[in-house]
This record gives sequence, C-alpha cells and structure tokens, in this order.
Amino acid sequence: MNRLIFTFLFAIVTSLAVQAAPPRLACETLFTDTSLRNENTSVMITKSTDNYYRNFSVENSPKLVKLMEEKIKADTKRAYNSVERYEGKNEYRIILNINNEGYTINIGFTRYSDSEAKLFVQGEMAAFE
Amino acid sequence: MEKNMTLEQIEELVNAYFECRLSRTEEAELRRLLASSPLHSPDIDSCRLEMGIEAAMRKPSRSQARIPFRHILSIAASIALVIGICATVMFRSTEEMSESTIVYIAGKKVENYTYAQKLAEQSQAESMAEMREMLDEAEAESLAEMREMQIEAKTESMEQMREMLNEAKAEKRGYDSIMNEMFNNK
Repeated sequence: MNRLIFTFLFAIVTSLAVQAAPPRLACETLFTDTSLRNENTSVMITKSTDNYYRNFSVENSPKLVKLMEEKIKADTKRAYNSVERYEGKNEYRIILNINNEGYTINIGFTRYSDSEAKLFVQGEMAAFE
Repeated sequence: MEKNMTLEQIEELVNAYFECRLSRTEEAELRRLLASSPLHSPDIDSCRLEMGIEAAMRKPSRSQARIPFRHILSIAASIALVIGICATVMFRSTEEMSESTIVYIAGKKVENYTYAQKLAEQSQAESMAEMREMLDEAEAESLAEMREMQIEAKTESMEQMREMLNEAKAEKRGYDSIMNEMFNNK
C-alpha cells in the first residue's frame, strides 16, 4: 500500500514537473491588472496558435509611465539581448529579447515624454505557456 | 465418518492419514469431512493442503481483506488522474475558445470584433517594424565597429612589421661595415 501511494504521488509530481513554466514577466502585469485600464490607457491583446501580441499605451499619465519604466527595468535583467536608443531630449526606446523554454519573447518600450509611452510584448504562444 | 466430529477426532484421523493407516475409502471420506467441516488446526489445515482442498477451506484472513481495498485505491487513483487530465484539456480548450482579440481604447472596450482585430494587427505590424529597424541598425553599427577595429589592428601590425624590418636592415648595415673594416685592416 505504501508503494502504491508512493507511485501515485510520484506520478502527480512528475506530471507537474514536465509542465512548461510561464515566463512571469514584470511587464505582463500591465495587461492583467484591470485597474490600470482607464481613460489614459489603451490595451490591445491578440492571440492565435502561433502568435501572442499585447500592447499597452499611456497618455497624460506620468505615474503610469514611471510604472512601465520600472517593469522594463525588471525585465531587462532577464534579456539575452537588448538595444537602446535615445532620440532628442525625451524620447527613449528599448527592445528586449528574452528566452523562455527555448522560445523568444520580444518586448519593446517607447517613451515619448514623461507622460506618454507605449509597451508591447510579443512571442509565440508556446513561449507564454 | 460422522459429520459432527470433534477437533480431536478429526486430528486423530489426520494423523492416521499422514501415517498412511487409512484405506482409500477412509481417505475419501476424510476428504469429504475436511471439505465440509469448519474446524481448523495446524494439522488439519496441512492435511487439507496436502489433499488440495486447502484453498476452498481457507479462513478469510486479514491479507484477503486488504486486497479489495488496494484495488479500490488503485481505481480511485486512476480515476483521479483521468479527471485531472480531462480538466486540464477542457480548461485549455475553453481558454482557446475565448475571445482571441480584445481592444480597449481610452478605457473603453471596442465591441466591433473585426475593427478590434484590425487595430491590433496594425499595432503589431508597427511594433514589429520598429523592432526590426532598431535591431538591424544595432547590428549594422556593431559590424561597422568590428570592421574598424580589424582595420586598426591590421594597420598596427603592419607598422610594427615595418619597424622590425628597418631595425634588421640597420643591424645588417652595421655588421657589414664592421666586416669591411676587419678585411681592410688585414
């Protein structure tokens, strides 16, 4: 009976272990937190079997722009490749490539000013499962 | 043999059987008696085993009571696994069946699905184009830098070679003049 219980528990643990882990990116919380959706924000989410694209745009909200910058800073640590560009006084862009379970996730952030910015997260569906 | 024999009487018959003191008829009657009698003792049970009627007369033991419970547990475990797998598959397909495009503009949901899809596709195309442009530019810049470094390194090594060659030539000139002096003095 002990052997049976052990086998059953082992089967459960193994089945859980082989499940792919979602990336849990900091930027993803911008799309899951519905309290951020207000007159200053626009959100786009589209998914299919081989594509998952999300876009979060902000206007007239320095607080949200700062929040987006914090999220990007957190995710930059996980990127295997990043490209930054400064244009003029205020404009700043960054592209991050992050690997999850062998799939690439692309994150792009553009800050137009202190109160206007946009961010996108894109990758194959399998990268987020 | 009487049907309602005592334990001692049956054991006596069993001992006689083991000592081969019973006739064939008596053995057959003993077999019938052991098959129908509820009495047990180590000698009686080993005689039943010997005669091949041990399985029919086995007392219900604790290990027998365990087996059904083990089967129940294994069936329950299999059912739990199947339910778990089905729930996972159903949950995933439910997720897939839900809306594949959601758009909120200034906090308001775009109800026209076709329009929402168009907006999302346009946004994605722009974002991907911007990303590619930045990545291509960065790659071009780093390639240009690498080429510059390679040219610099090549130029530096060429100059070093020239220097070494000049030094070697100067040394040879010095050596030649010493040799000429030696020959002239002779």
